[in-house]
Amino acid sequence: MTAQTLARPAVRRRGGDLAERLGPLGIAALAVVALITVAALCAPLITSHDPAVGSVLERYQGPSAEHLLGTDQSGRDLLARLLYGARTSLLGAAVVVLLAGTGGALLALVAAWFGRYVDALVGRVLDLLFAFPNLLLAILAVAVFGTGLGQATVALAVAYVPYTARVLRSVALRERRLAYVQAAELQGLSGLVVSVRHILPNIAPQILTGAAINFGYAMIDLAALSFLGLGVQPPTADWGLMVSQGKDSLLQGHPEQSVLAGVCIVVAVAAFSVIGERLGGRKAGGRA
Amino acid sequence: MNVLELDDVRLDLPSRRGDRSLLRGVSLSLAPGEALGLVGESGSGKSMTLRTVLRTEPAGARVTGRVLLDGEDVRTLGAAALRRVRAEAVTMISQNPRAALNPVLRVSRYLVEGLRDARGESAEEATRRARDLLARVGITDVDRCMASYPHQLSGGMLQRVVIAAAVASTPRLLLADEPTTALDVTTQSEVMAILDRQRREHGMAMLFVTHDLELASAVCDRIAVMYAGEIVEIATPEQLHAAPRHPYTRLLLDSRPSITARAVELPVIPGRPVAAYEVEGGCAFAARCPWAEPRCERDEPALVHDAGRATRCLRAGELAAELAGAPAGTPGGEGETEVRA
Repeated sequence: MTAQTLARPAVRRRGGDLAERLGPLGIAALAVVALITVAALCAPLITSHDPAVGSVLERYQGPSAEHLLGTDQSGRDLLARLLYGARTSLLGAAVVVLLAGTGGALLALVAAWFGRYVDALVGRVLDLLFAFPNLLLAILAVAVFGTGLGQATVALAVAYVPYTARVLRSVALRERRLAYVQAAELQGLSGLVVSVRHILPNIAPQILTGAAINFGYAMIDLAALSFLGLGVQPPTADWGLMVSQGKDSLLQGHPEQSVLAGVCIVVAVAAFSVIGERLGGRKAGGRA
Repeated sequence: MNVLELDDVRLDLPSRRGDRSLLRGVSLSLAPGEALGLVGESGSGKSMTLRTVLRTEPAGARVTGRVLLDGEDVRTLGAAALRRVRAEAVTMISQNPRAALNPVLRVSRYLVEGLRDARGESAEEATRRARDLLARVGITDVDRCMASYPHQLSGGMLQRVVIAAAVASTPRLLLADEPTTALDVTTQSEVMAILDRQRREHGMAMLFVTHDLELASAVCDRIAVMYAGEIVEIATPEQLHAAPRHPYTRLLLDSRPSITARAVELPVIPGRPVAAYEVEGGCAFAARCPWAEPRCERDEPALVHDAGRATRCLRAGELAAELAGAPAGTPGGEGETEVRA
């Protein structure tokens, strides 16, 4: 069997492929994301301070050996609050992306498989959701179901579904019409099996890319909700909440809290966006 | 009982300018283990005939007539029953194996999952059987093939994989839609031989669609020639080659290049193939037929069965001797090789 392989290298190393796709900036962004994740996970190892407890006597201290980044208006350690805040921020965004990705993929597969009326119905419902700004939808949900991280993430996830669903629907629809899907159908496989086994793996790159891009937006929106007092509730540490709580200190000449939390948000969002765009940009050509 | 029986199958496709007929009453039957070749020009309805069997005709098409699979009309089956038929009784091998395989699944997964779906086998058992099947379709490096993605294999290799998957569920009927058209000639004969051997070993009937009369003659028990959405002649390859009874078959045979004689210009059937919906009464082939008479334009010929073969020609009786002769004597002469766009 000499004619077994094509001209291009038969086995491409996956790692090399990914690095090539990300480029230097993408790799840097990946490193940033990894750093933030590790810092969030290892928070108790890095600092011994409790992010929720402080002494009023120690408020607004500058950087010192005891408090590396100083303290906030309640005398809580800022580094500890940033580290633990990363946990809530990342987890919240991850849940939003996971729920929105799952929901979007599900709707996309259903719409693509059945087509016609089902597709039209799904499309119109998505249009309806699109008509509301994300944040407004989330605020509405929070107003109904109450404040808190759980409510805020679910509300945001619902608001994000139209974006993922619309993109994935078009890709799934394209796959649906390809011969291999019809061949699978002709093998007597049910729509569910064909969708999950054959179409899903082929739209997985787009699901991942969308997730990476949405992750950044979800962080910003969650931070915004927390800033408005609708998401994470004090005294839990959260970057968005820290920006909000720091705004009074700003006027008193202590901008550290808001600035540090803001920088963290910007850096994390930028890193996720870069990764998402790198993955998506190079993917746009699609496979042959 | 016949494995497959098509009874006056008609297919109409609605379009803006009224219905367009693609099949105008196709009837044929396939005995268990028999191979029937469907040959004809592009647009003659070969593939469409095949598609009515698994109900994969274009959306909106209206199909009438009966398609009996082991006596059961597949046209009236419910969704679940249709899935069962597709999974167990009939398998289709398409033209392009590269398009028919999921690009992101390895061959092993494609075969093993197919086997597990079909027979509920354990993973080890299915893997063992998949390897066995690959070996039997002439793949020597089974390990490498199992671990490959479709893009890493050649077209010939992929078509073998598809054949392996097709025979895995030992269906009673194999539908092959030009399975070797996308392959080069040497691979073509190899793959065709494998397909033929597998078919015989498993006792499957085959409906084989092709442009290639030679290929069909080599592997089929009978050949049905199609023109403009209907069958114009059915006969064994021997009968067809020795004594075609329909003018179209005669001209089709004549227009093949000979490998012994050098032809200055290949004989061409004058005119262009008419689509089924363009036929307005009379014989569909009359406009291109050198032997046509006024009544051919007027009266529609029926498929007349005679001693194991069938012909759809009003003048079949009178022309029998003339058509059986050598490629000479076509009354129109060679000068009429006109080409209309």
